[in-house]
Amino acid sequence: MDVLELTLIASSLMLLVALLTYLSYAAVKKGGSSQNLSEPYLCGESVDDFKNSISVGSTNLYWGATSAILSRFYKVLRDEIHTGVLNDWFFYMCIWLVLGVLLSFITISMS
Amino acid sequence: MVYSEILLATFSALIYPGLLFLVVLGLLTQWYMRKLVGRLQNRIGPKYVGPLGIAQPFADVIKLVFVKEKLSSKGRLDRLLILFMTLGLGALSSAMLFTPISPYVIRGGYDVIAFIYLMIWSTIAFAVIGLSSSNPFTIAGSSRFLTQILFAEPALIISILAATIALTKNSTTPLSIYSSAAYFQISALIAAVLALSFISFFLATIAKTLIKPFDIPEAETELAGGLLAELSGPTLGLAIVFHYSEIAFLALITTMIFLGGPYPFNYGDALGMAVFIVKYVLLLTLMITVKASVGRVRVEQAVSMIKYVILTSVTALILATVF
Repeated sequence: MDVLELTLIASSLMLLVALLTYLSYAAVKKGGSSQNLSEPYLCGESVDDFKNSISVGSTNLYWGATSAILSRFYKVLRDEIHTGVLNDWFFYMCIWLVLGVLLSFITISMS
Repeated sequence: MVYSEILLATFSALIYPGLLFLVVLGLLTQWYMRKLVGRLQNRIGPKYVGPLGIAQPFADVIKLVFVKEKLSSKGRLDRLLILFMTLGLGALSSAMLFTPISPYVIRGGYDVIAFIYLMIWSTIAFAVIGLSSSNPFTIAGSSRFLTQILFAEPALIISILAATIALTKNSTTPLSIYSSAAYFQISALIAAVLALSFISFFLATIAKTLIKPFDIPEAETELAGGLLAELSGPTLGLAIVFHYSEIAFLALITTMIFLGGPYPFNYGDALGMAVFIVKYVLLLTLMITVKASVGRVRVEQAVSMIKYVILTSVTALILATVF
């Protein structure tokens, strides 16, 4: 199989398993969840305090990486890459992947 | 593909070594982890359901999924949550078909690229568990998880690339997961690359699966469970199944690629199977011993520890690439 073919087969099987699992779950747990709505669990804090901060700001993400080691690198991350959108994070991870793949291609071409 | 191939592929993805196998193995792995951690901490661990409490994780999941009521909180995106968890399970099941234990094998040169793509799905699915809720605890848990993964996932990918490059250097199918596992061989160079990449992959696995000391994203004491704070009943059951399937999957891949699977015997031999199981259990024991022996570290401590893990994997990759 070439890479494209096997990726298509693997992705189709992934979707098949996901679909069947989703349908089985939905069949076991019929009915909407709207009847059983509860307040978010906040350890007794008032929900009103969190109404304006239900999502964490981008400065909170990656703070560990920054404060200790990579503050300049983090600045680029925060301003250019991390926008609070999951896709951007995924894009960043893809750069690592591409780097790895490039290295492997160089190996193959050298051998 | 002819019909028989499609049937075999579907069987492999759904039953063995796909979904059902991973779920059962994941829950057995959970039992072993709970039992061993219990013994290490001078407790008994699971005891009542089944011999030695082996059926306890199954009973827990059945209770959560079938008996407990479906409950949701305001602002939570339930369908997105379930969709991503099932996609994550699908990705893990599909990735198992790249290994030699599958009746239907997906194999070819550079198949490690598709394999890595599937592995990343499970990470995204786990992060979405926290991001799909409006609770600040779960979102903070997810952001911590993503911070940790920012360093753990590249280490995971680079170490698996290094191992496959070293193991398939003279193969007709380069960078193939199947060839790396099925035609395992050992030489001084391969041993050095595998040793370095194993250390890196093992530590990155611990960080990715939130095992101590890298479990700050789900810290009970400060984040009320972090990522999993809002989950209860069936959704919690599904999250447990997904999480332990991922642990079982990563432990299986480590056993196959880095520890040689049934080496010095072959896949299919009784002795080979015994060796494989022993290696798998030893790996889990190592993981659990680390979990029970160390305390939780803060995010920045975790990140500064994991950056050395990346360095180790890059060294393995350079060794595998240059020599």
